[in-house]
Amino acid sequence: MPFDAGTRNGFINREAELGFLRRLGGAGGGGVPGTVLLTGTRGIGKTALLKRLHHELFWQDGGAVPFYYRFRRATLNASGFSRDFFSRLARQLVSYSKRDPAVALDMGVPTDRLLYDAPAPASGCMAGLYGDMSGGHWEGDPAGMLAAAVSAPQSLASCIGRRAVVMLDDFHLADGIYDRTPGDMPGIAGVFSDLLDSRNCSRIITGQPEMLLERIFSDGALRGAAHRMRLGPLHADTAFELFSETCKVHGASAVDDGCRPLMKHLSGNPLYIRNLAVAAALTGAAGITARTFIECYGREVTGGETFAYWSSVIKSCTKDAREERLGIRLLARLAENPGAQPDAAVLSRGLGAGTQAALDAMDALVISGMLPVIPGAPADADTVFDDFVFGLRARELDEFPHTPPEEAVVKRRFGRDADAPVTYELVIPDRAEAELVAVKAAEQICAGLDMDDSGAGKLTMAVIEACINAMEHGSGTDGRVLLKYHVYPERIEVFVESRGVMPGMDTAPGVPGGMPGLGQRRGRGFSLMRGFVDDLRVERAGDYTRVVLVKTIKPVKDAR
Amino acid sequence: MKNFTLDTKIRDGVAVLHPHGYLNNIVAEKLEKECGEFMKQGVQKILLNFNDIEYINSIGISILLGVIESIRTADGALCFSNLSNVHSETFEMIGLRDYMQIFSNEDEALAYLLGGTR
Repeated sequence: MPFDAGTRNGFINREAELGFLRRLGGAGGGGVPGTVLLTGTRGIGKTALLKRLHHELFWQDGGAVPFYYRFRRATLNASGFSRDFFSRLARQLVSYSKRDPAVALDMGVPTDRLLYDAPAPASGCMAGLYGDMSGGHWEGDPAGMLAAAVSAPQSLASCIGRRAVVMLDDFHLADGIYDRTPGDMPGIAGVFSDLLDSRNCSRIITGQPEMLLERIFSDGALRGAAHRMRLGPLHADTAFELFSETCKVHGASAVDDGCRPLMKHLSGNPLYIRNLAVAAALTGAAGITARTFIECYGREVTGGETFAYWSSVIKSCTKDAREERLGIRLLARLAENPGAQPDAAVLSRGLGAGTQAALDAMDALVISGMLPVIPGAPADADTVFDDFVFGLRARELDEFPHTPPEEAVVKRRFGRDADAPVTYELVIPDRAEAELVAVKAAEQICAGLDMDDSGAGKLTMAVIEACINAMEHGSGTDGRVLLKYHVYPERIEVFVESRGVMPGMDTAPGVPGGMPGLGQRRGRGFSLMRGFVDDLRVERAGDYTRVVLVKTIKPVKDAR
Repeated sequence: MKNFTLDTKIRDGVAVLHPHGYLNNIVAEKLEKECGEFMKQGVQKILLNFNDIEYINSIGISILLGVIESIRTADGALCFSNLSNVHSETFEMIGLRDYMQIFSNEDEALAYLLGGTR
């Protein structure tokens, strides 16, 4: 069991699918075909769905017994696989009968000792199966071992008079089970046919990529035996909900609504959403803004958890470090001409590797689902994976020598440099109290940032003064005041312009001087602006006068 | 004036003015006028409660300075209460705090004014 049946985290908004799978645990499998082929892109939530179903079945009285097994590349040798499969199964049965999830997680107890912990009659049944499996081992009969191990779920289920729901994760790897050398035991259907035909077992099979699974199930013995269930991307609202919740769980107090439209870049994939949310929350920002999202996105796909995830996929699908390296460079090269038919000979020259090595690396990437099974075929839309590959290109091919990969990704995905400001523009009339419109705009912009209230309040006060000043010196011209708000990660710049030249600009350029005495009624605007912002400039631009207010964004946590 | 309302009341002989909204020149002039009316009626102690003032501008502040001056000249007393941090800092910058008392709430300001000191 890869997870603790005592927890139920990691599941979101798959109620319909869960409801369908739940029926598998009912009497006679609830009228659902005995095998469900659960597909969907990497990270879409297949395992989370199995986890939730497992949790429910585990704690349900009198229901079906849940078994979960994830195929691993390290245990594809027939003998190793048989032992691993049986051992995990036995642990889960004892765990289930004792209602103690810890038993399944403890791989330290030898299997033969565990057999006696199982309640009768399962204990005797398990001992018999274990004997058959061990016999196969001593007789040098890996096929016998495999048969004994693979038949264990339905045998145990029969023995205790209950249905079993068997969940086989990463089942595509089962195609690689071998005796002595990879490829010497073809015919996966024969190995698993008893289990797949069993009437007192339901099966949920998942793996990657979808086309490989389909290829397995196109075998004559299995054809038509499975019901297909494909998990699609999360709806944008659900994606935002998951992002917000994850941010909050990891310490962020709020997520700005400006992040909502950015969700589309995460392809509705819970893995990407969670990774980005955790990265955003770990920046320490109390409120997660669109800017935080964008900056974290660049880092995530070029060096964060999402980068680590895809790197680990490359590592796990390649046979050694050399092929892994080749795979990375191959992905980077292929991304230069997306959709083009890859030519192994051309690629091998470009990569400086042999043609066979290039072909092997390409096969590995196909098996991992990173390249389409049919060369040049369009893949599922996955912007994050595309950007991961783009980041590899930036790094491996040194395409942007003066730009760090994370910045190149941000520029590509969001259409601007990480350093370029987010800008807002506003024109207000030269009328009493129109400055309040500019103030409200400033407040809303500040509200979308992780900025302390005091800093935002001072900026709005300065904006009021700058607008009043612009209305006064622009009076009698075109009756308009132009405002531009430039938001950088660490500061906001507000440009307040109006036609006309401020008195004294030509004779004494710069910011007008000090605070007048109490008896003087006017002339405090610039002194207040200077006090409220971190930098204040007055510029003449043609026949316009421009006041520039610069306010450093002090994060809420620093301002406390 | 859409952005302004002014509540007034007398508490223990103190005129309490409670403006709401944006304290600009127009509003400050209204406050100036109200204060003048109270002074004419013999109410010498005035409290301005800023609790519901959202924004202030420099012209409004300048007019308030005139109000302070008039009340001081007439031997009256004026206090401010319930200022936000930003508005409090604004008065600090202008040097207003040297000429008047600012309290965190209305009750404290009243206690001060009724204590007879200014």
